[in-house]
Amino acid sequence: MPQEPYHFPGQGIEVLCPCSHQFRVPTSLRGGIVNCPSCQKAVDVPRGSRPEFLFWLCIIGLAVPFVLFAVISFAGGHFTAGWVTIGLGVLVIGGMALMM
Amino acid sequence: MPDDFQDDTYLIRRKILTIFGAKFHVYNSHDQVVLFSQQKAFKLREDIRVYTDESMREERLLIRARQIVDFSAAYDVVDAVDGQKVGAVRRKGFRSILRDSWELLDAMDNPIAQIQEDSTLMAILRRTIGSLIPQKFHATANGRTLVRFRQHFNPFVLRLEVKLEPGADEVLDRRLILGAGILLAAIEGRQKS
Repeated sequence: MPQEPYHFPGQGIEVLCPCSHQFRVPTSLRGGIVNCPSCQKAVDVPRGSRPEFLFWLCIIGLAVPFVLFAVISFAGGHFTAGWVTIGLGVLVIGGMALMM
Repeated sequence: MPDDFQDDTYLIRRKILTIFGAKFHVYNSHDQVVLFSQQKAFKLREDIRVYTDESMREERLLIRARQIVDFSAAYDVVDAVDGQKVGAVRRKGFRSILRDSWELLDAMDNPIAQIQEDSTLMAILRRTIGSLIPQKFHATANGRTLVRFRQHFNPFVLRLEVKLEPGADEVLDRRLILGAGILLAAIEGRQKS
């Protein structure tokens, strides 16, 4: 059984290597790459839930001004501005989602 | 490690006027391309694939950011040939506001050296005047300078010279040094272009 090379307080993140070896690494390595203590090959550390939370935060943060501006435009009778805002919103938010 | 990393001087050339992304060429002291990378634009999470040449058939290094959004971003450097992580380069977020500062970490994430801009005064001047004053960085460990990164003045092409001091590879892996150089050219260069 290979020795675990990482010493850290707390739970850490569990990493499962394709060689079937399971080990824990510090949370500072979240989303990063580590060498498996067993096969010595680089293996991805799971990103966990934080990026997902950030993703939705970005999407909502971007969507709010677009929705507000579109609602104000429609309410004021500026339909072209409203539709342009919706189109731009879909483009920007869709682009962000694709990049992430 | 292949012979092409045994030189003590390298030149990283980054074309700034590329419309989407950026292209990097790493030359050895004989002006031969030893590494090539095409950085993709519009990527939120930095993922730089470095190849042995422009044909991009043989991947040599992988440099990848750990997080999408991170003030003190860390980038893992992996040797794509043997599939092992060689170390990481971490930007010191707060310190870099005034003077760019990075940390070099070994494969176990232990700090082994620091990369800093040459002086705080010059760093502030560069931030106010712009890219007119080329950047200089030193990688040091225990007060000893191991690597010098020196940018050449050229408004269209970023040219970063990487010079290893004698004995630098006793402390730092050459692949990590080149990875750090490419990152400096990619990240610092992008902030100024």
